[in-house]
Amino acid sequence: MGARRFSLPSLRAKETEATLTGEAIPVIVMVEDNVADVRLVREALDEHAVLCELEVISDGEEAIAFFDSVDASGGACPQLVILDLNLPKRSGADVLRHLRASKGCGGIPIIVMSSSDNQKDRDTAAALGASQYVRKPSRLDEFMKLGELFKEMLSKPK
Amino acid sequence: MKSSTDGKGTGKSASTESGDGAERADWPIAGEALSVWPQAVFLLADGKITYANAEASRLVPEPLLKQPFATVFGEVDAECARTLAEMQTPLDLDLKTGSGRWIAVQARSYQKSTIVTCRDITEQKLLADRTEELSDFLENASVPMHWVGPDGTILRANQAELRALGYSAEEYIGHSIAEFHVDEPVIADILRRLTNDEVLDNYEARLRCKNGAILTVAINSSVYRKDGKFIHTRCLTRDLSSERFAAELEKRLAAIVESSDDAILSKDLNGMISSWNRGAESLFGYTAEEAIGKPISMLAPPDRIEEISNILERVGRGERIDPYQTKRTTKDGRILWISLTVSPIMDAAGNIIGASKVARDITHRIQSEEALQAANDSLTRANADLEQFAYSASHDLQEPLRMVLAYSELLKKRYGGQLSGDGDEFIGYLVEGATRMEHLLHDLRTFTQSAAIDQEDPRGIDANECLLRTIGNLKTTISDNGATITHDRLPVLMMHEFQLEQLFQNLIANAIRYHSQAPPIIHVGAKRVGQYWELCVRDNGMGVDPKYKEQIFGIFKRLHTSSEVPGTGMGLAICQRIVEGGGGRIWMESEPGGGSTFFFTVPAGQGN
Repeated sequence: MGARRFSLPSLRAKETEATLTGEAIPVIVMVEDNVADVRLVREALDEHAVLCELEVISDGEEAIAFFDSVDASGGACPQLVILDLNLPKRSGADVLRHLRASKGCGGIPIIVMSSSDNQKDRDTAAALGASQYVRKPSRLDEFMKLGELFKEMLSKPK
Repeated sequence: MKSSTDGKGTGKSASTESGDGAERADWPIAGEALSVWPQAVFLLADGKITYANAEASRLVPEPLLKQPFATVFGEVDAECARTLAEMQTPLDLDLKTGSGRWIAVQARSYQKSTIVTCRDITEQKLLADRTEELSDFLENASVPMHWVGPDGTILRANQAELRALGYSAEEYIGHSIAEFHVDEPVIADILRRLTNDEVLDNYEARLRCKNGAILTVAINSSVYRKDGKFIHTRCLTRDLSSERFAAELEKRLAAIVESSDDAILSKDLNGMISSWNRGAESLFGYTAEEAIGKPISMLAPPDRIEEISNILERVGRGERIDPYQTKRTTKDGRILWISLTVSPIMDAAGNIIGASKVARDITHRIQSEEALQAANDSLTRANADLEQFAYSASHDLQEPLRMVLAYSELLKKRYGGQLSGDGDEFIGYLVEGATRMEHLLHDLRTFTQSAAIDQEDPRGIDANECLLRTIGNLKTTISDNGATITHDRLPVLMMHEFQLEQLFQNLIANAIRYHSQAPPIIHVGAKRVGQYWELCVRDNGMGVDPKYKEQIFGIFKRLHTSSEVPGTGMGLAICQRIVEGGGGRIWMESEPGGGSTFFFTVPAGQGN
């Protein structure tokens, strides 16, 4: 399964606007196997009117292959990565390690978003160079607040 | 001296005493006779020798005859010298001359003369000494001895014999020997044999002592005959009782060793088996014949071979090896667990000549210990598995629940008010149920984690600071309910900070949650009770019926519905688990309507 690209429907107008003004639309890569979480992230981005393209990769191996191909082709890096830890095939920690070692994309912001509240996972993520660690919230309003964080991370100068 | 009636009467009485001074016609003859008399005869006047017969001249060298008589024997002891000089007659004296001979001296006075006869008694003296020595030997030797006449009468018995049997000389000597023998046929046989000139060599007999005890003796006897006539027996008796006792003891000890269930064996310093009891036979499977002379190492399994030389070396140094557990092999190759004790064996001179070993089969004990350990281990594992299961389950259940919760809220947010009234109500229940389940899972995780923390060593934490932090956490609840919280000065407690915070948080939150009409007033107290700190959280809330005071600590146990008072029923279970895990106790005292007090104890630990 290749990466699926969502363009948030509500942003079509803005996107068109941005394209017209020649502004590049930022890309967020989300490495996540749970479509329900993907949907909640989209809701959160939508709620805060974040102009972006959300590209979803649903397992660790594909994520590594994706960044390898970006490196190989010298293509553009995404502006933000949202990374789950518990992934099929290769773990989020592996992806994180690989990504941080990437020539082209090693410096981009990475938010680790996991359901784990384990201190060990937090420490590992920090040690491997995650920019942020957030626990996946159970409550909708908390989840929606994450949109603010994503927005903030996107707007950070590289 | 007989009176003479030779016809030359003197006008004096016909019979005269030798000392009466009368002249006698036969005197010249007497003088002649004196000169050839076989004993030395001297006549003295004023201590000077006036006459010495031939024998006297032989006894005393010529030149000395001119000396005073007292000096003729050379150097004599002072007492004799004085007696001779004084020459108080009549005199009878045995003296030892300077040349070591014994002389019997007799002196009698006649008118102014003294007649002295001397006889050499050296031989007699020596014989008497020897007789005395022999007699003493018989009498005082430490071996019992006696003589018995041909008729069986005891003629003589020495002190040792009297002592051994306890009789006085009168009670024994002169009596028939048969009186003292326990077995009549035995003494009859003894006497018959002796009469036939048999020599008895360690002939065993039983003698009766004066105190009634029976003495077992070995008799060595033969007959002394003179001119073919039975004079007496020469009999020595030796007490066998102590030898018997030693032999008996040895036999008894041997029997104990032999009948012991423990394997008892000995080996020399080269490790060769030298004895092997029945216990060893049944334990190791080798018979004594098979084992004796073989190396002890045949009993050691390959992984214990080195032990053998090590043991021999230590025993060689005189060390005793206290019981220790080891393994040995049987003849049929089974491995046994045994408890082994090894001690050095010494000869009479104290040289170490080998080692004795006592081995006890403890295979069953070891097996049951191992089984117990295995059961314990599997129980511990099962318990840990259960903990792990509860922990994982509460985590894994959280994920799908998170979806239910988030999407039911999204549903409510996006479509709330667009559905019928029922639709909104249903969504409400959905959110409420999911919320409640989330709380349950959260508390269940806390409960399992409270045990996981037990593994680490607790350290001293200031309960005052911990309480203030808890109050900070509960700030909203406290102000919403208008609660007042006071506290004593609290001690430093040996526990995990997280756990104490959990305790305070649960107990104070409960105290607020189960309030009465009045605003909650809560006090946290502490006092030292023996080896424990006793803390309490007292409130003025609705109280608890004492009949529920045990039940409230159970997992998911609640006395109220969620709609009355929200809660999961895990709070007090968590508290109990934390307190009991730390070696303390938790309980509650309450009256319905009179508030509740929750107490818990924490071991004070060292230095507190």
